[in-house]
Amino acid sequence: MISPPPVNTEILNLLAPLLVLVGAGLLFLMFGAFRNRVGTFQRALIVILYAAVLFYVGKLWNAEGWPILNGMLIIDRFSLFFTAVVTICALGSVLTSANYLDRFGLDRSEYFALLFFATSGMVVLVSAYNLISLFLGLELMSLSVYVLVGYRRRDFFANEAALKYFLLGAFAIAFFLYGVSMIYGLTGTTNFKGIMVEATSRGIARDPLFLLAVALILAGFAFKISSVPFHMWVPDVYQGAPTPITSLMATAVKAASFAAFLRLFYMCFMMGSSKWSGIIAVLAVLTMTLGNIVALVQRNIKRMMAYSSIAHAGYILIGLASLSIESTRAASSILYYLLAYSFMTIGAFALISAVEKREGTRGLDIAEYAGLGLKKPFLGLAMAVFMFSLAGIPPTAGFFGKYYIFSAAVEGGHVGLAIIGVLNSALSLYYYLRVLVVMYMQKGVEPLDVHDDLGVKVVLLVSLFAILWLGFGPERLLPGVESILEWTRVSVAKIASLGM
Amino acid sequence: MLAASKYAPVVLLFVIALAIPVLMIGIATIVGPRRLGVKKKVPFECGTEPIGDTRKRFSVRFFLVALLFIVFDVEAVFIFPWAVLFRQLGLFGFIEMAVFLFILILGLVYVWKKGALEWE
Repeated sequence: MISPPPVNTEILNLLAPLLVLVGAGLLFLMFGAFRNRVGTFQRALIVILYAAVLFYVGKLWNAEGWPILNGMLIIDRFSLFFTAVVTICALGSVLTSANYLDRFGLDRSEYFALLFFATSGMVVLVSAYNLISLFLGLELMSLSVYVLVGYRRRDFFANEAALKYFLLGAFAIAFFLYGVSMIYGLTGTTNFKGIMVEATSRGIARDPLFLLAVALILAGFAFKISSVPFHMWVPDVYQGAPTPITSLMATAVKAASFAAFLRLFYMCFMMGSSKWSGIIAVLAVLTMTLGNIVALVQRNIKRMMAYSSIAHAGYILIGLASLSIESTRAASSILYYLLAYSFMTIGAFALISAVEKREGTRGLDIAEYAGLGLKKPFLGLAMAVFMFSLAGIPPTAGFFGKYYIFSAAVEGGHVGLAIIGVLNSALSLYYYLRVLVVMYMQKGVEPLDVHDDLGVKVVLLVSLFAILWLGFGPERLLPGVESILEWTRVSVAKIASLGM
Repeated sequence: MLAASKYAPVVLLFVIALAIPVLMIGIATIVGPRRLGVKKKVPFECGTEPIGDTRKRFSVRFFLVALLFIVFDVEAVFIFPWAVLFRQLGLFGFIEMAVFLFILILGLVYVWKKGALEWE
C-alpha cells in the first residue's frame, strides 16, 4: 500500500532556494508571453529574486543535511555552498546582460526565464543524492543553456555553437545514462548511499562492468567540465554564445558539474582504490597542457578564455585526483578554487562583453584592446587583476586557489601532478599577460567604443574586491579567508564521513 | 478452468478486434462500387507518393507541432498512474498533480500567446 509522504513545512524550507528559482523562471516565462521588452522593474526583480536565493542559502546554512524527498536530494552544506556559487555566477551574468542584450537586440523575457531554469537545474544538480535526480538536474541545466547559446538566432556563429553543443551534449548525456543503467543493473539502486554500500559490501567494485559504468559516467562529466578528450566543442561554443552566457558556462555550469562529479566520485566510486585517481590524473595533465598550449596562439579573446577555462578544469582535476578519504584537504581546495575561479572569470567576461561590438570587427580580437588600459583606467586595472589572478600570481585568489590544490596534491602523494601544474601556470602567464601588454603598451588605431554601464561596473567592482578579499581578507565586517576556508572544509566533511 | 475463465475477456477482445476489420473490409468489398483508376491502383501510403525522392522538404511547422505534441503528451503518462491510485494518494496527490498541471498550463499559455499553435 502506498502511503503519501507527509508534507511538512520543513521540506518546503529546505527547498526554498529551488522553489524561488523555479517560480521566477515560470514568472518570466509569463512576462515573455504577454510582453516582449524587459523593463527596469523586471530587471530589479531578477536581482531581488537571486538575492532571495542567497538569503535562503544563508538561512539554511546551519541546517542538518539529511536526504529529503525519498533520498532524491540532499540539502547539506556542500549543496548550499554550490547553490551560492552558481547563484552568484548567474547574478553576474544577469548584470552583464542588461546592456549587452540591448545592444544586440536580444532583449526578451525568455532569456531570463531560461537563465532561471538553468540555475534551478544547477541547484538540483549540486543537491542530487540519486543518479536520477542528478540526471534531471543535468538535463534541466543543459537544455536551458543549449537554447541560450543559440540566442542570437540570426548569427552564423551562434547557430554553429548551439548545434554543436546540443549534439555533442546529447551524446555525452547518452554515455552518462548508459553508465547509470549499468550501475543500476549491478547494485539495484540509484541512491548514492545505496551504491556506496552495495559496491563496498559485495565486491562489485572489482566487477569489470562496474569499471566500465564508472568510465562512462566519467565521460559524461568530462564533457560538461570540458576535460580533454571531450573538449572539442568548447572554443566554438564559447565564441558563438552571447558573452554573458559564455560567462555562465565557464563558471556556473562548470562549478555545478564539478560539484556533482565530486560528490558522486567521493561518495561512491573512490573506495580507497587508486585506479580512478590515476585515470583522473592523466586527464588532468592532458587537460591543463592542451588548454594552455593552444591558448598561446589564440587571437580571439573569447577563444583564448575558452582554452583558459579548459586549462583551469585541468587544475581542478588535480584536486579530484588527489581526493582521499582520510583528508578533506583536496576536496575543500576544489571548492575554494571554484569560488575564486568563478569570480575572476565572471569579471573578465563582463569586461569582454563591454568591449564587444555588433558590427565590423566585433571587438573580440585581442588586438582591439590596444590602448584600453590608458583610456579607461578602471577597466584596465580590473582586467589586469583578473589576468594576474587567472595566471595565479600572488596576492590574488587565483594564486591561493592553485596553492591549495597543489599542496593537496603533494600531500596526497601526487608530487608529479603538482610539478606539471606549476609548469603549466608558468606557461599560461604568456597569454594572460599578452592581453595586458596590448592594453597598456600598444596604441589603439580605432577609437575605443566601450559600453561599461552600471551593471558591468558593479560586476567588475565586486569581482575585483572578491579576488583580493579571497587572497588576504581579514576577519572584519565580512567573513574573511579563514572563514571561507572553514566553509569549504565543513562542506566536504560530511561527504567524506559518508564515504568511509 | 479458472485460468481459462480469467483470460476469456482477452480472447474475446482478440475475436472482436479481428471481426471488426474483417466485417468492414468484407462489407466494403460486397456493397461498395468499384471504379478503378491509375491513382487508386497505387498502394496506400497515407497520402504521400509511394515512389519518389525520400529527401523531401517538410515545413518546419511539422516539427513544431510534433515537439508540442510530445511535450503535452508526456503529461498523460504521468497522469495515468496518479488517476489509478487517486483514492490512496488523497489530497496530497491531488495537490501534487495540480502543481504539475499548473506548470504545464503555464507552458500552454506561453505557446498559445506566442502563436505556436497557429498554422499560418
